[in-house]
Amino acid sequence: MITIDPGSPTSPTEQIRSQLAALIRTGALAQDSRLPPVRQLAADLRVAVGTVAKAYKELENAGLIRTGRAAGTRVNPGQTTTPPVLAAAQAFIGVAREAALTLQEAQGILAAGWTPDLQESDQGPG
Amino acid sequence: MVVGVRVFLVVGAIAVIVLALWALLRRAPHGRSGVGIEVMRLSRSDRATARSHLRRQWQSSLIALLAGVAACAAMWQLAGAQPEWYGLPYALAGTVGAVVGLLVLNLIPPARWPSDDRRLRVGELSPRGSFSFARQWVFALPLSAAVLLVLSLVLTGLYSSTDESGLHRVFMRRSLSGWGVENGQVVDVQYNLSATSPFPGWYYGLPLIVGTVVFAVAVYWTLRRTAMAPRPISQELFAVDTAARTLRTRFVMAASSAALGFQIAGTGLVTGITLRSSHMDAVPTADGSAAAGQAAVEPGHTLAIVLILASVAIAVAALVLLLRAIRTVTEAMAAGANAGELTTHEAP
Repeated sequence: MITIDPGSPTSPTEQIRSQLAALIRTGALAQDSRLPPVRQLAADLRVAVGTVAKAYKELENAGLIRTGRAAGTRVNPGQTTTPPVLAAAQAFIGVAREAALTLQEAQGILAAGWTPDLQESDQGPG
Repeated sequence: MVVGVRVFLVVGAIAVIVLALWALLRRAPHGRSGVGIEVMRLSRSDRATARSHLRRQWQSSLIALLAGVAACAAMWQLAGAQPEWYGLPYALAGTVGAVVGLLVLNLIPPARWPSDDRRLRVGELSPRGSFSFARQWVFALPLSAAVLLVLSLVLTGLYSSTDESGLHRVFMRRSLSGWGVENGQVVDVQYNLSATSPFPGWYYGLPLIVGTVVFAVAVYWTLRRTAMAPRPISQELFAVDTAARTLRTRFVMAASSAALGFQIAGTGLVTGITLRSSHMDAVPTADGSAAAGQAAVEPGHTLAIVLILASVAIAVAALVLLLRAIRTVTEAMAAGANAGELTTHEAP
């Protein structure tokens, strides 16, 4: 399941993209598993078809999913984050909850610690 | 012999009908149905929403069912009023009824879950399709029957002959027409071509094939619309939404399978009767004063009887499916009413 918060300052496309990307990275969406058709997800979330299509396109450009005419949209293999990173994230979530941090506050701490050098090396050249 | 077969046919048909009705009644839900149970689990406000959704659903199903039956009856009237069409409207009545019913079902604005622009919306990540809300055999069985019908119609079309108007609607075969008697011996046996009708040749077959294809597309389209309709925004309503879609899919499949069954049974029965009467030959006799006897030409005669019996069984199955379609409507009706009662009782 994914959710859309109409009151969030984040655009619906970004909300869809980020949640799907997270589900793929954590392995909640297994490799080769099929995503719902664009029309179905758009109807369920009460957003325009183009909004979901754009999110899917961005995920496809990032190499997380692939779209085939007959096979539909499927999760690409090898996109799950490595187990040590997942374990560290779980540990961080536990500590953040103990400290009564909200999701936004925890994300802010991560963003602050995410140095430009790390970002560049993560994105790679080009 | 002929009287014996008739008695056997009637007794067999009655036995099958009684057994089918008994089985249906035995399986009838005595308490609340699946959708009814799901409605009962909801909160008071969600229950009112579900009741409204189910009321809309059973109303549209009932209107579609009545429209289909009315279209079928109109085709029967048309067949009676136009005898020069040689019963073609009779042959098409089931298909036309089903297509009209499905069309009406799709034209009625669908029951939609209410939307709230300020609330969090939930999106399901499992793809839904036409065949998501029932077991595979529910779709495979009628589809196989439709394919079998089309293949049978092609076969009967190839074996059909033209009547005096040039219409491919008769079955012709060589039959004994006369003989002579000389010195107590049968001599000079003569044959001719005898035509029996109505036979599902191309005259009936082509419209039936086209109708069956249109019918199959209409069923697929209806199931797809049912599956692709938006889910409720609240996850609490997902279970009742799934139950409502399952009920709707069951209604579409039961009603359309019943129409297909009646069409196959009618075509099979007419074909069987025609083939049975055309596979009886006169028996040459040397006694010129005695009436000529009749002998069955095998295996055509037996196969025709098998076809008649199978058609009667299919007609009974179609009747059971029609009752099942009606039951899905009453099930949604009861679930909506139960929810309504509880909402009223629990209201402060």
